[in-house]
Amino acid sequence: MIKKKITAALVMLCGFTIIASCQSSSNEEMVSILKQINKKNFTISNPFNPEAKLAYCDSLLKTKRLGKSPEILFSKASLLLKAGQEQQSVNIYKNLMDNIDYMSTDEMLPDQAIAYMRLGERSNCMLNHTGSSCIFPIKDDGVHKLQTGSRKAIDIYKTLLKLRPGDYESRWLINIAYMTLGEYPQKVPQNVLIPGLNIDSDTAYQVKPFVDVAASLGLNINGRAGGVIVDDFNNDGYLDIMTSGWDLSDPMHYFQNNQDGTFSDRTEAAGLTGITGGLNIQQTDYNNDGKLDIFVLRGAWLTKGFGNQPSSLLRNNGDGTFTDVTTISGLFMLHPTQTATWADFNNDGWLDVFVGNENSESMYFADESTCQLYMNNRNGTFTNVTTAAHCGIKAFVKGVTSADYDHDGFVDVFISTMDGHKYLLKNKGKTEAGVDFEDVTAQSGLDQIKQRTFTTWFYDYNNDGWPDLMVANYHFERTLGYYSAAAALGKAVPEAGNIYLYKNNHDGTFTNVTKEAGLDKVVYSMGANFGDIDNDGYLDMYFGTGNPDFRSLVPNKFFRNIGGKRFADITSSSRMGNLQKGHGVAFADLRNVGQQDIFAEMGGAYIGDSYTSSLYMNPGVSNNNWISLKLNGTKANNAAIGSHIKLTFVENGVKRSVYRDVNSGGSFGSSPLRQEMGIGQAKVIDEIEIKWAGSGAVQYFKNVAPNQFLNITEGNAQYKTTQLTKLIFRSKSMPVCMPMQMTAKTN
Amino acid sequence: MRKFLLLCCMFIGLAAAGNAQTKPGAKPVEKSKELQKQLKLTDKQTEKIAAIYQESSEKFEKIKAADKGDNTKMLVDIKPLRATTISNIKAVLTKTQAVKYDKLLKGTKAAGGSGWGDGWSATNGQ
Repeated sequence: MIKKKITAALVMLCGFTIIASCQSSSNEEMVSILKQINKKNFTISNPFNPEAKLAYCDSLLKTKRLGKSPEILFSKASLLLKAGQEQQSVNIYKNLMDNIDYMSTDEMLPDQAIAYMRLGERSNCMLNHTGSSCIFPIKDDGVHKLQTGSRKAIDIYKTLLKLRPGDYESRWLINIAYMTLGEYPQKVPQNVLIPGLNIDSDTAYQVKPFVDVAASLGLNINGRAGGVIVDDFNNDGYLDIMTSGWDLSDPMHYFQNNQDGTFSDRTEAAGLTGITGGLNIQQTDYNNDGKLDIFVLRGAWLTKGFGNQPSSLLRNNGDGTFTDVTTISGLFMLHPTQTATWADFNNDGWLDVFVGNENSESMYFADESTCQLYMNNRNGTFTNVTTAAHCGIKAFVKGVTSADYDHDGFVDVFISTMDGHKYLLKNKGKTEAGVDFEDVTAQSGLDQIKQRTFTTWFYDYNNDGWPDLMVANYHFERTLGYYSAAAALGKAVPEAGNIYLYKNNHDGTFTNVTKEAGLDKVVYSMGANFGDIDNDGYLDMYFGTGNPDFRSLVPNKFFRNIGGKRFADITSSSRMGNLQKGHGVAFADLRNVGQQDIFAEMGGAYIGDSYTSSLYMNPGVSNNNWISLKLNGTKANNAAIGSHIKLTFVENGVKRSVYRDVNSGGSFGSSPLRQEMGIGQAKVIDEIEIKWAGSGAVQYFKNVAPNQFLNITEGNAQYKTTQLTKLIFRSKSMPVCMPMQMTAKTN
Repeated sequence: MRKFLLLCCMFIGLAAAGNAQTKPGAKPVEKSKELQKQLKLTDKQTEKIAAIYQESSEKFEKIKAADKGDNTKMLVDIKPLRATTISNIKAVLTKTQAVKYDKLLKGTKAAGGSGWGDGWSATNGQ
């Protein structure tokens, strides 16, 4: 079986190479490959292709024998929902219900109910979208104007709950349905009410509402699950936005910052047309030319060989265009992935890449996909050293992240998987054979979690100077509302959807502090990232949530870091509890005002679950001071990825430090490499310490004034100040402001 | 056509569309004959089951009239009738047939669903 697969992959590669030789550019080569795979994947055996199945269903329904088959019709109704044809789906369910008899069961009711819910979402949240649409708890402009869908769904959920009083999935969804009508909690029947869904439990730490300004700025791309990078791709100092969608028919989007509060879609001019797909995207500077390149990760979640898609390395040409250099760089591989981490693993001043691939062998399919480590050859190419480096982990990998967790000067790797196992790979440093890793998971204490996990990152949440670890539970056997309802009713399923937080003990081990940190909550993170929304120097977290099932209608979650001790749930007060499926997330000071806004790439697995992405504008959560640091390595890699920053200052008479490593954040979503760091009420930064990646050389800058953008080059004793215009987001005709009624209500 | 159906089952993961073992709306005799094929019933068993279906059908008509087209309400109200019908049918079956009948009755959907739709299977991922 494995031999067959290898042969197939070789044949495919040969085919692609032949095509490549006939194409005039490497972009066209990749476009052609992606088109071919897309065509090949349009089949009923592809688990995420409802369109092909729908066509097949229709062909069956045209036959005499199966023309009225309730089973086929039932399947068609379900597929129509995935294809985004809710009204047709609802019609079929109704027709099936009209023909029930005394041997019928209630098994179809949950499907019929969610079809009505989706009809409501389509008519309101999508076709009449406002910034409040589908924001949990739903209120104000988010209340449905066209109420048929939710009303019908409520009727069905009432029946279901009569039949199955302990059905938490239906109980969660009926409460949401009432919310969409503006009737929660007052009109929810007492016996099914889940109280308290419309308030944050941590009332002391509420924030002003963030406002979704994506539509005003033309950034409201409607699409399926995908990734996002916010960074400066044209080196003008202003942050641009790049997005992707996971399906091979989903385009990338490159929004260039116009330096005046608007963005222009430069996708075509950048040569990115046809470079489709990619559940996740990341920025890097693989050739140390000071221009940010892009790594597109494809094939995630697709088992049975459908995920054997190439990832793409897109070289930034510095003239507004990108060239696909995947093949010539040696990174052409056909493995399903959505996660990678760029770091200088051998401290030579060049960025290497560790790719986490999804091996689905455990699902009864032969699969040779393992994690891969590609070392940078310093000439635009890479060498695969996975075997020699002992890091070819074979698992269904959903997140990889890197940091020097043990302060030995070499970057280590953590791997999060859907198999339940976790892996901490310690970089043994330079050996005669080159870079080498050792699995130290058991010694580190990170092997205690046995459940499936997804998103992950290293960060220093408590500012003690050591990287801690976040890894998100993604273990479920039911739709996600079940777990949300159970938790809200005081019957939480242990660990379900929790955000595991592991504190670094400074001795090579970690302690699970999830509960003490208040993160034992139902989240179910997919895309996520961290940043500092209130500039207190402590890192906050925003999680895009969900799974492919339409019934998994749960909110994105937002947690505010309270002094490095615990996290307060600010989902409700921030008005960022988007119920639609959340993927790539980036925190970024897009307006150059010292406040981080948050871009969230929204949308689910199916075309019918496409949704509008959001840019949540920070309302000004605090008046704290900040500093923005753009580091340029000379001996270190040019992007300075992996360099350590330490700011020391006195705030209210107390001396403290804030730590940050240069990277783009979490494993799913990419924030700028420019580090935006809060310093609380401090009026001056006594010392900035930079420990450069690779060389480990340390530089200090004393008595630095806050609230400015600094450009620091390795080895240069003087930093440069970058003057950036403070931007006001503008729609075509007017500035985008915080609505008065929203700001007036909050603390 | 059989191949077609098999394929269909494979890719869609057919769920019981509200009727576990016979076509909804079929007449009692048709229903019993369908069951005869599936469970290899004798003619005598088939006859007895047709009578059970006939009785249930008459009771169903009364429920239908009372619920005045409210299908979701009807699903609640027919629950005891369905249970009685199943119990009566099982009394006619042999032990082996009863086991097979139970399998037919069992829907293919997991209670509450796995959360994956027809995509990646959490269960298979173990």
